[in-house]
Amino acid sequence: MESNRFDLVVIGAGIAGLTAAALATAESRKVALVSIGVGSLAQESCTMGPRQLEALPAEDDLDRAIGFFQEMCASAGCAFDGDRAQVCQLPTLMGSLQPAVLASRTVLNSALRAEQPTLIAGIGGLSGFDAQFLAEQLNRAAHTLDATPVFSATRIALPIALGIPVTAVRMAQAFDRDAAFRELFAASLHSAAKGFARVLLPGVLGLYSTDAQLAEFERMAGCQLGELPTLPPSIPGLRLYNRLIEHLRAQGIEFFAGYPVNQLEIADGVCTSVSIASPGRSHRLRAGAVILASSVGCRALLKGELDVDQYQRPINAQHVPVAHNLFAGCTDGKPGAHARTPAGRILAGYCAAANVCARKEEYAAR
Amino acid sequence: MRPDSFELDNCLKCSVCNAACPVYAVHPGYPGPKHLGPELERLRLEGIATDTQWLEYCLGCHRCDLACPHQVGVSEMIARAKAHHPKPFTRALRDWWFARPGLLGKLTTIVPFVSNFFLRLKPVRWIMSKSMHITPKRRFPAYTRPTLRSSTNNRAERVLFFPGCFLTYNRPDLGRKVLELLERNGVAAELVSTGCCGVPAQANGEESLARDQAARHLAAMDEKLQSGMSVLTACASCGYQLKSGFGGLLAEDAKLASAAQRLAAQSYDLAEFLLERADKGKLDSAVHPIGRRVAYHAPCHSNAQGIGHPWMQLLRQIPGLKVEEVDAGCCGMSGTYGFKQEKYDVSMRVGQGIIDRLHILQPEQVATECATCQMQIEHGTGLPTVHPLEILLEAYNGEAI
Repeated sequence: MESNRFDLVVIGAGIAGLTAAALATAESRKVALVSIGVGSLAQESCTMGPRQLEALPAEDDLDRAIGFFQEMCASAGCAFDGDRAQVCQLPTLMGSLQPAVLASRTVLNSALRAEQPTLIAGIGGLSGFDAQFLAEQLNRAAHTLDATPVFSATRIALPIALGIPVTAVRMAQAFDRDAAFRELFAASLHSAAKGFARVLLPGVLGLYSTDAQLAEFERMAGCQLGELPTLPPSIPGLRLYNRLIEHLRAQGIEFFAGYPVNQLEIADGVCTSVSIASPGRSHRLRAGAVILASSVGCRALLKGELDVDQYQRPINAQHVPVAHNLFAGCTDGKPGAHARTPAGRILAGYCAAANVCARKEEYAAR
Repeated sequence: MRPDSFELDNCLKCSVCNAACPVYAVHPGYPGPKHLGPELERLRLEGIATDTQWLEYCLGCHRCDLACPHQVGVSEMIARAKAHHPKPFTRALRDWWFARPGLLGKLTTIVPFVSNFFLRLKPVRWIMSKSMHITPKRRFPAYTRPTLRSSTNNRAERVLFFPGCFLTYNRPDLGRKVLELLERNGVAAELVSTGCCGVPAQANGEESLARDQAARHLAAMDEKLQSGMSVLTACASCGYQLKSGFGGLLAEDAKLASAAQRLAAQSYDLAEFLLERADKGKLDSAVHPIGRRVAYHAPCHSNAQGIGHPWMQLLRQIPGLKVEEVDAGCCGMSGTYGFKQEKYDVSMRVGQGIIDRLHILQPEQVATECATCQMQIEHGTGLPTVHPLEILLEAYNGEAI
């Protein structure tokens, strides 16, 4: 019978860990994903600007990694749209425009479009999203880019108890669970959006909603919808996380959430197991290979700064890999450099998993 | 979860706990774990009165703890504050009983058929709802004579089995199936019959009762624990309590605290134990195929044990059995919570996610290792719901149970 043995154990369920776990699963490996809580996606929605991508090495790998990530998102029902060659301007909550190339579909939908009248809709009771302020600031920002000011502001009221105070999280939860809420919401948008092809909203469109559900909601509202992520947690980021976790678990990944890894067992240059600090006693996972995809976790487990060799394996002071089957999914290939951007993390996770899979016989669990 | 004194400072107020909270999602008045936990904890530590009725609405599902990226023990803070929350007399009376399922079991099983008969009568349920705020919309599980006994045969390997209240007073037949499953794998089980694990006591605000219960269990088990015996549970909540509850309750007594640590280190969920035997090649793998579609729901207290989904792994080994995971959050029952009149609606709204998902999956049977999750799923969907060990045993025996 099957048990706690895995071909690959991935530590960290941020964007790097998710990418690594997905690639190994796609290559038919038995994968365990270990994480303390929600990864980086709770704080950011993974939007990528052109400079992030330019700063990264390994052109071919980067294209493959981004392509793989987009495919994974599409099959998880949380499309991650965009094209590296096409730079657009995304509005932020502070009323600035940021260049971006890749983002979640609803986030990318908010991009500045010349000559397209766009309505920014605040929601009654929801603080931290001032539509009037945003419209003024964005029109000014558009003007400095020599674009026509296209933004107008409105505020919609939802005749439904959303809690006190109304938060983006609560709205997203109501969006997920309550069909009556979605209908009221869509109807308010429908009447507010007359004369506009597109409405920009604070990011509240569900923590679990799929592309199909969002498309249906747009149809009900009668306009295209763009989301601006609000203060953390980022609802579009959490949605991406939740959809990807659900997708990966459906693919057979074993997911250990909530407790940190407290030990890597390394003997004779091979990492044989990963111990999770679960209640009572450590839960030991036997590992064919291990990817460290958490920069905090990496430092704690390896007790020091991280340098890697050309296969992304952490190395010691003598430049020898700590273990032959231990990879860092949190550095973007350059020794000592942590992957600081979403694109860098996707690349790091992808390359680490590709290295594991390339050494199939060597690392497959016995 | 990091049990150190700095954990309050680890809270960055990111609200990920709120996003994970099933009650926050369905009740517009509920202020959420971030507020009831770390935010108010700062004031509580300063001795400022912050009591609020919402403390009672926490399900104790630990989803906030597991979601927190900074390992703040949010639900523990809420549970501690809950213990000091005053209640009106009738609700206090109800919660006094709910904190003592063992006592309730002992009394109702003196003449079980009479108790069951009365508990099902509409007027009795009406009186209970009016006098004690127990919802008439649910049925109490049937009580039966506590006939569960230790294994009598002489297997080489012996373990302790902690049955908990439900297996003792409601389903001794299920308890016997646990023993049968173990015997089949060369293990004899010795019953720990010192009563309730203490989860209901803590959930109903009786910390000192839970502390007494913990001390009693340790007194009964410690000698055997020191000889290296493992303790098994087939109930997710008992299991979580043995692994993580006693240490905190008994922290002030060094001797008991070290015994609690020993117990925690030697406690296993039944599936976890079986899976570990599989690792050593000691699990009987001669199972018969079962042609059936089953949906598996992982109870919150199983998730909180940080052991993955061992029952799911075991069920997947049965040929012919198509197992899908429900994966739709908390069921909302949370032990006695769902029986409380003022919380019944919240309980059902929380459970709606699972009910909707099961309507889509349309399984022939649902499996979950928590007795009250079973009640909620049957109540909400009408689908036959069993403990996964019953399916495993069925596969061993090659016949319907």
